[in-house]
Amino acid sequence: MDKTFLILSVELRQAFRGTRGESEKSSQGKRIARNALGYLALISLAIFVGTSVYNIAAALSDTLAAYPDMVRAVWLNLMSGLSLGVFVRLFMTGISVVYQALYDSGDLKFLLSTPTPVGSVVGAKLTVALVRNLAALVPFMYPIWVGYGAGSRAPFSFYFMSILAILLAALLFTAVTAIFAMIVMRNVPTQKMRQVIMIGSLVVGFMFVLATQVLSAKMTRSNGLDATALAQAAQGWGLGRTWYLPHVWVVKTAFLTTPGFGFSLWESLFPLAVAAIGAFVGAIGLSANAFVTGWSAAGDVETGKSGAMRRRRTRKGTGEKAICCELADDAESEMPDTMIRRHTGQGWGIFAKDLTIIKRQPIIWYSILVAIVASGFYLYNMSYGARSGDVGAIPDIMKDVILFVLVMMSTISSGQIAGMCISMDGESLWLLRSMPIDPGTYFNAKMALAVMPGATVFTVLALAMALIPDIPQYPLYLSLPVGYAAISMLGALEVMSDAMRPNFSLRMSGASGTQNQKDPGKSLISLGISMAGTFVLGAAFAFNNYYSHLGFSEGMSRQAAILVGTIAFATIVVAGHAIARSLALASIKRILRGESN
Amino acid sequence: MPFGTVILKVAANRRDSLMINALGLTKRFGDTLAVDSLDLHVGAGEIFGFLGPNGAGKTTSINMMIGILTPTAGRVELAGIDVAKDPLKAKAIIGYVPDQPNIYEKLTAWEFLMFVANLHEVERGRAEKKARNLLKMFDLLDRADEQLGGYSHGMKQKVVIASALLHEPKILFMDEPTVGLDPGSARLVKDILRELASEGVTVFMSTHVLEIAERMCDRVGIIQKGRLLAVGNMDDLREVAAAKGAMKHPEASTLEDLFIELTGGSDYAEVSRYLEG
Repeated sequence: MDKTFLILSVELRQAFRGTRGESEKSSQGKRIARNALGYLALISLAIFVGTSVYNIAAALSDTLAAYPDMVRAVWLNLMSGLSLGVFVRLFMTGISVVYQALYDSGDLKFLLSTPTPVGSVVGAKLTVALVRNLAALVPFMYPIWVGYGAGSRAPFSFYFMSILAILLAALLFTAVTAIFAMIVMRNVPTQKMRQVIMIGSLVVGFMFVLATQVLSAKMTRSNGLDATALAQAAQGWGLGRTWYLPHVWVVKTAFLTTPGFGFSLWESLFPLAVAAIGAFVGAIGLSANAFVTGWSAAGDVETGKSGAMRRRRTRKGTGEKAICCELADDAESEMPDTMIRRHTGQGWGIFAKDLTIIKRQPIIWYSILVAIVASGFYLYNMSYGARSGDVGAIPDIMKDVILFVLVMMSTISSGQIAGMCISMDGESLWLLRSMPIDPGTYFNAKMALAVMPGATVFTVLALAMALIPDIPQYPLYLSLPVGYAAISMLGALEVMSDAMRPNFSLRMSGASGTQNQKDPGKSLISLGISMAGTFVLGAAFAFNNYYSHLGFSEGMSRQAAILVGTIAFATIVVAGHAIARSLALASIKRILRGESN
Repeated sequence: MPFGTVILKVAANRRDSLMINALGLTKRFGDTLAVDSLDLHVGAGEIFGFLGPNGAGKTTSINMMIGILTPTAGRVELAGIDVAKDPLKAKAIIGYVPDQPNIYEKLTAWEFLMFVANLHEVERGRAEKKARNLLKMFDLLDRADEQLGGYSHGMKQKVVIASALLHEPKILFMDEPTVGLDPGSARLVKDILRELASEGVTVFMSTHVLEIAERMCDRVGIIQKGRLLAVGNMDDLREVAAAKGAMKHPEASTLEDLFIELTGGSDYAEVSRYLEG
């Protein structure tokens, strides 16, 4: 146990000191500021979510004030759904977190070579995975419980019980996943296991997104997200009745001390705590027999023999004579055509290399898929509105709103690529630095990478939108160039942002132990650029819709307002490009010269 | 056909022309002086060994010489090209093998070599022919379409060495080139380096394997705590050691003896006395 805490204390110390290593000469002040900004964004999001739920809870309580039992039933069902959401959220990210903590940590080799019991090592690693899972869960889930508690005047103990329920849910999930992983790792080769884990969690996550979108679409058809619609939807679910499911234990634990619900300890906290702690102890117990064998298998090199280029093995060249003979035997075998060599030149080489790497990252395609599905539902909802005849009341500004929502969706979908297009070179930074690469060519290649996915998604969405009749929209000859201009500028800003603050500890391949595949700070910055940038560009382009409400332009003609809006939009795009290019180039020069890590 | 004429048609450099010229090279990280006024001059076709204890400043020096780390003071010229003033031109004539083969794990070996060829703007047909030959030479041809993430450390190291040779560099910088290689591959690398040198390529390598340095290098430089302690061939080093006066028979000493004497002889003597009780 002492050794478990010892390992944990080292892990925590590492976490607090960051992952960027000695080579980064960033000052402590900057690091603190960066962390503070990230926390501020998270807190803002939590407050937004909590306040929204508070409003719904208060509205529901007011609407159904005469029926307190019904209100409780509604909330019980809603919170059951939310508890299920806790597990779904864990499925989305938690499996890979547990797998990486147990089998991909770079320090495992060292730890297992010391006289530390395997159980202590696994216990520490599982605790780290638990903390990471909680960190991914609490900022998004707990504010909902808090919002409900405040809106329905729940007792103080509710806040404690709800966080305890989330903690135990995460513990149960982490431990059960670890048991599952340890059993599977004994038998399944590493690469396949990774694929199973990745695809499995993505499928669950995708289904979750799909389900929420269907619900959202359904709500839209019920005249939006009002309290009555929520109540009707929730009562239909009846999720609270299945007593044997863990998410039901979670919701009952949260409501255990809340008056009126009447749950007993034996149907709530007791089974949840026993299952969670039992699974955790079981995982540690199992590790003594199952972990080391599985971990050794995880380190095996894949030696599959499939592929287009299998050849008879060449004999080993171990001397000068062998070298000469082997080199004389050239140009015999055919090599596969690769995208990288399809064209020549540095710019194409960098772009094609990046695209090849990204092509092999399921997580990136997943985010693009989610954005397309979300946009698809948005279009679906719009078409419903159009067919129901509501569009007659929609002002002209809807054309601009629709156009720029598509722009925003497209840039958000490609944000994971654009926002880390330079950081992804941290994997082999030494190579790029030692090559005669022109910074301008490098920037152009990264720009192409940053803009291409968003532009593709936008094209698909715009073409789909054009097929839907009666929706207020600009013709394609106008919407496409405007969209591309906006997306290219936002892409340039994202490249600039990544060039100025690259995170070279990111590893696209997720290989080699403890290296990160994600940077939450970068994701937030990317999201901020997409949303704020789209808003600014949209506001400029849509000037002709609101100019008459502004003091300085109220006397302007509509034609003049359209001209002003167009010029403002074009100016922002050009200036954005110029600034982004200039700042990015300065940073890229520093990076390639080794002045910035 | 000899190796060099197939793989590396190096420009006819005269052996006495200066290919690496480091002048007063200094690097300071905060309060730490990593490299202190390093002066080094290496000629064409020379194999130069750069030795020193761990943390002596070898990798930092190499990084400054190849233009991936900006010196605090001093300058480097590679084949007469100032690295700071014209880094692209300088980088175009070098090949670099780092101490850790960190490469794109989602690319195959073939894709990686083609990528490097593109960065050096090597003509397509020539690049493919060379890449194929290098992969074959390193016994990787039948695994060339596997992603590098599945390669062992030694295999990655071989891919990196192949990538450094792809564009016929005039100067080859190698930071611990034989670490992680099996004996056969290590021997192959040594053969290649000798062949390259005979063709006029300058090889600058850091290593901890003193036997390799002694047998292969025309000259060695020994660095400690950022300062160059000695530079020259074995006889030159023996003279320096003799001048220190601590060695009984410097004329019969090996590079290992000289290295220990020059970098920490007194410390080792302490340890020896301690072990003897």
